[in-house]
Amino acid sequence: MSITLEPSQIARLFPAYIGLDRKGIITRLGPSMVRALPSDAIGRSLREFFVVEPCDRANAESRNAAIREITLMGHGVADGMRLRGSIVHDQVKVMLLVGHSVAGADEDRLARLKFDDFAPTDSSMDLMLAMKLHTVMMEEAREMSRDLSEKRLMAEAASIAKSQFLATMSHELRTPLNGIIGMADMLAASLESQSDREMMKIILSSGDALLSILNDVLDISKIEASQMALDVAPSDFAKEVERVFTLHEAAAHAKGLAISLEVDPEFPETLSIDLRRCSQCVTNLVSNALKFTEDGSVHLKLDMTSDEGEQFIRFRIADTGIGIPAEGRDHLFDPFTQADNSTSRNFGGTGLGLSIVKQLCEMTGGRVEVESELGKGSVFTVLFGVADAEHQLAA
Amino acid sequence: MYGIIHKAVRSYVLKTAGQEVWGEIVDRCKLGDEHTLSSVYFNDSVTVEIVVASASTLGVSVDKAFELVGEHWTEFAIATGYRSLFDMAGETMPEFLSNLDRMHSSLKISLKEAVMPSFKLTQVDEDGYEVIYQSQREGLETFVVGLLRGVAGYYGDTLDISFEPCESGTRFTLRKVSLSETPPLALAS
Repeated sequence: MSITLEPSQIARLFPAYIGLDRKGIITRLGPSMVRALPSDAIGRSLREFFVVEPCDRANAESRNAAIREITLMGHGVADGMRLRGSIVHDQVKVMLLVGHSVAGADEDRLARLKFDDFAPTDSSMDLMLAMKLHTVMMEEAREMSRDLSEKRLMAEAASIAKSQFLATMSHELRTPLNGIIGMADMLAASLESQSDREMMKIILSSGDALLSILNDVLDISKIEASQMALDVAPSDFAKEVERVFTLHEAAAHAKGLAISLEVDPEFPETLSIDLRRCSQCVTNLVSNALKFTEDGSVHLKLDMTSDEGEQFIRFRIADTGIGIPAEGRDHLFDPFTQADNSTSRNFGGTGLGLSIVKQLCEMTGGRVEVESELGKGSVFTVLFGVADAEHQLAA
Repeated sequence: MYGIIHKAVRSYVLKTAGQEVWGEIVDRCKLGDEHTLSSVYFNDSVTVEIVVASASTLGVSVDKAFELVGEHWTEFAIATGYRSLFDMAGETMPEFLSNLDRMHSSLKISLKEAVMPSFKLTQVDEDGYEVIYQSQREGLETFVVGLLRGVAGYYGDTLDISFEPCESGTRFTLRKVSLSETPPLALAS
């Protein structure tokens, strides 16, 4: 089947076509070429305006097909043009059905092209627009990356500055506070009047409370400034948990709460952990449970568990306290944050205890989880990573 | 719509009202950095929410906000790096509008989720044109008014624009009211 096209139809299908005779003299031009070349181009040699790209020339001899692809590079008045397309031989006539090359084209070259210059069948325009689009988007992504990087660095610098300030202040306050507490303690022993002793007792308990807050601030500052290191040594953790339990028993009974401790009989006697920091976590959680429970019980459970092949100490504490609202759980472990603003008003505290628990247990490779129902109670589960756990369990 | 539309809204708000006002809109719509990334596609409701918040913050109607952003689009696109597309699309406003569908068709290769509108231009008389606008989206006519005005401004023309529904979509009637002496490509690159 053959189709004969009128020149106007060819012009519409291939706006940038160039008709040549066998000597390479231009006989016809598509509308895009009419615009791009001088008005007297017809009758002149194609070589006056274009050269064939060297790699195409090299391939030409090995090709015998009637139609082959070539790339033309403009020079002189056509300088900057880079056209790619097919050659069609029709007896004595040759026709270049040229589209537009994208590869290597820069803005100056593109500026000479119009949409009308691209044949409807020429996908090089799609590619060119895609490249343009992606160039702009890449620059956008680079810009965003720079912004985010700057923001991150600024945030890190601010966080370090804050942690250093808190650490310095806590240390500077703690030294004189220890002096006040020590001296008050000595003075208490020499007081004879009952009312003086009561007042001194309040001074001492207030001093202890303040010291506890300062210690928490110092701890969180050290953790955030990456200055806290774990001091891991073989320890009897079950015994330590029992000690913490005993310390809090009196306070629980004073509130009318039942308190119980369950230690798995298989729990190892010795584990390599930072006993002081793990005990601090247990203490914080027991104190919290007692603080937020008015009726009912607090139950502690200690055992070992494994997760993805690794062994962990698992400490669970369940209470029948006020519970935590769902919206408060997301930020429960953030520093200086409590379940809601009314919590600190009603129960006191800085909101550092749980944050310290989370960060300390994460330093061991563990984690903390919470389940809670408002008005019914909460269950906190802490996993502490154990150094060389497999070896210890096997021993 | 793609984030590039949000980016255009941001560009307009920053230009006319400043960073603080844009900050209010960001807070109100809870926008993240990704919302103004050109290549990220969002549900239309996100875009509408941003325009509604911008309208409210700028004290204009939602239709007017769409029109203002539409008019700003050309300046925004050129400043963002797409000047060469305008250069390729034509040397006059009618040429540009005639080539819009083709440009959209090519862009669709890269922006696969884009729902592109169609613009068919007919010259009515020496200074009058009709554009038949078709889109799967509804309610963006004033955005188109702004776009047409912005494009005309780029080519140095000022237009009277009216629109009405027609069988195939929306018919926009354009009439040049004055010819600026400013040549095309006058916008800062």
